[in-house]
Amino acid sequence: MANILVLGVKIPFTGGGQVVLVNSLVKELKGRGHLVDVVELPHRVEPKENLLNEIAMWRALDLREFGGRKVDLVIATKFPSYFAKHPKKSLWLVHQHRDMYDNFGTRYSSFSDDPRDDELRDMLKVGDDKAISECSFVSGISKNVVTRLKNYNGIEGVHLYPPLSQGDKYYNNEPEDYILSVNRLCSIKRIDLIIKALPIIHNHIKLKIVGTADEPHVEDYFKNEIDKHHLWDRVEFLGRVTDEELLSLYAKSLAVFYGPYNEDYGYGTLEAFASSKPVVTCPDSGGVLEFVRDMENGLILEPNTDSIGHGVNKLVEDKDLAIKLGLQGRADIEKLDLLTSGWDEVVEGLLSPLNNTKVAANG
Amino acid sequence: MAKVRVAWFTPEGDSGSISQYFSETILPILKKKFSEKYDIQIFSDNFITSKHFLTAVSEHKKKPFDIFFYQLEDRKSSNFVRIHLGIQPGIVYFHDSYFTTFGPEPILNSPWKDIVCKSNSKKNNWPIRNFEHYQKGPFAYRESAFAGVSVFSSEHQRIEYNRLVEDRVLGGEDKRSYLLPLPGMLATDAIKSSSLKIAYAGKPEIPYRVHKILQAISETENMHFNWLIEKSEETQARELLKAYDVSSFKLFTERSVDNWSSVLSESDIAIHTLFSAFGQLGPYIQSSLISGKPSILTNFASGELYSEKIVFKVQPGNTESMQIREILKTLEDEGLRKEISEKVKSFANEFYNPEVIASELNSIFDNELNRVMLLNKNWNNLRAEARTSLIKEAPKYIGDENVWSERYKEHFQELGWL
Repeated sequence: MANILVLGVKIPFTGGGQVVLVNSLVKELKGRGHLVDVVELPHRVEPKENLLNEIAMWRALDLREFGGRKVDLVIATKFPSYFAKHPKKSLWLVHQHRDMYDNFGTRYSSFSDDPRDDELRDMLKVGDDKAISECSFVSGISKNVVTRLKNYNGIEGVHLYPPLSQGDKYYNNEPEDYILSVNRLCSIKRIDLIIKALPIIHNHIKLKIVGTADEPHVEDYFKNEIDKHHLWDRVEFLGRVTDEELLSLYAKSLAVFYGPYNEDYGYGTLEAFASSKPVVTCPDSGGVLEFVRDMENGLILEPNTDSIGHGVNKLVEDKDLAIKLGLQGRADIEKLDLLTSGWDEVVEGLLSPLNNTKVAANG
Repeated sequence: MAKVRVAWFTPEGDSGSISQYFSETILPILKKKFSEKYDIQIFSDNFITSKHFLTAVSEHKKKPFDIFFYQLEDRKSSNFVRIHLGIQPGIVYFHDSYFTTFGPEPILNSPWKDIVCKSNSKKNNWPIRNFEHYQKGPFAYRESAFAGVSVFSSEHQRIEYNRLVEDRVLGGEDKRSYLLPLPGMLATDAIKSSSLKIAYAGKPEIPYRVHKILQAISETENMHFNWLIEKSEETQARELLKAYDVSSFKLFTERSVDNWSSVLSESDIAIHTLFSAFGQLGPYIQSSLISGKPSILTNFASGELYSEKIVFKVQPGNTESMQIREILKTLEDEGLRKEISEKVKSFANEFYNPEVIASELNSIFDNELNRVMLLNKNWNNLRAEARTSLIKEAPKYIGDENVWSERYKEHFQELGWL
């Protein structure tokens, strides 16, 4: 049995898929008899110039031994945790700093054409190339993530989908008249698309939004849109909910809207499917599209008001269709072993450096 | 002798793009005719067929390019070109100088004026961060500023550049620029018929003057209208044709130079009307002329500077459709059309032949190589200064220079940042 550190990155006071992933991984590793702990450093996206220092902080950590216990392996997850040095380093990449890669040139990136921003981009990229190449095992949480790594950094990796942490707890109920959104409230998750589509969607259908904001002004923006279209009787912001409440919300929803921009993976897709609910998404939603197939287990709609509004109405007007798509979604993730099993493959990959001879930096 | 390394930026997968058309037409000639001279690397915004534009600067650092060559047009597929021009200035071939949008992020908040000032050593300070920089438009002031050498496919745009642009990298009084017409694509002659077949590629919108053309056609007999449109324009196009009672027509989709060539092959004459400062007539007009098609243009902006010895021109306004009608009647004379065709072909072959254009581009590269190398040197210095500035700032985020030096500096060095 091995002594393992899982390296995580936390923006204090926020949650999200990263937290779930790290906690699930730790639980699975412990369940297999390993001694596991988490090393997390706080992360700030702005000011972006300070990312250089954050990386240096990770680089400065000595993770080889604690209290007489040798650390056999570190498993890095999200940028910039993979900058940590260790003789045996595995990577299960959640995402890199997307502002400088696939988000660059979009409204989701803070990098401008100021030469300082471009030099920063260059330095971070050189750093990524070096730090990730040090890993004895390179993987990502989805095909989307490993494809980005290959395209932008020329580094090959395998995709290992994270199974759901409470896969056996999801259930299905008769659909009620609401669409569910479960996401951090930030612009890239594009919850505004479903809010703006609501006036087109049949009046009796409500929208329930689970999640809290981790971006300034985004809530104000949503509230303005709701005010503009007089939708307060149809939209409910639920904030954080308990696990039981979340399971219930999924179980009773008609469908789940999950249309982020170029998502890394999208736990929301799996949670929806586990509850036998169809997912409404967009053709540029990235990792979500590794699971959703149009008119088979969900709907893939252009990211505009008309398309989403009329698309959702299809499910409203034909509940049998919604049920059929949702059941297919459930069958699909069962087949992929993402409900209750599926961790063996993940753990085997991440622990493989314990058995092979590749020597990482700082050995 | 070392080859001249060219980073050539072009959209791909957009058949309606002028830039793509130019690249597809001219690159093979350049590569064949000047194979010993140029080492050309294509950059686009995909990973499949070319190198991604975000890799250009790191490639430049490893093995420098001599020339960064950009083509600019008011089209979404060219957004990445607009972005990268601000990251690494170069030779810019403008197909549009008026843009209908301010462009994508990061252009919306671009501190380009401050950067250009700094690069010309007129200012020592870097731009203020997190500051909303006002962008002037719709003329491409920012893009013009980053053009070390400006090339235009339309004389009208070149005139506007000379009139409007003040701030430029490699500042100074020398606002040299070049006119490089777009190459034309040759079409075959149309099969003879009793009607006069008219080729047209304008949008069904007022600036393109289709309403004037259709009015003229409706008042004339024996006219057939061949219209190249986008699929999305079909409903509107059919409504207009019905409104003006034009029954002899054929719609072609989608709008591209290749498809225009097909339309020309079924037409006797071409109409290229445009009453707008936005957009230009190329390469459709060049293809019409090189194919010997008598052509009708609007005497405004892009159309203004074509000689009346090779095209017919109409004044926009109340008598516009009447003018078009009279020209159409004149061109019903097959003998006259043939005479015009020979004259026009001879002119067009001298100026719009792809081989000629490729040679002229080569001349521009030759003439400007030293200038762009100076631009590259200045820009490299600016980037080095940018990096120094980032490193200098780093300790302030820790709040203690000593701690930074003791704990962080070695990692900056180890990662190759220092």
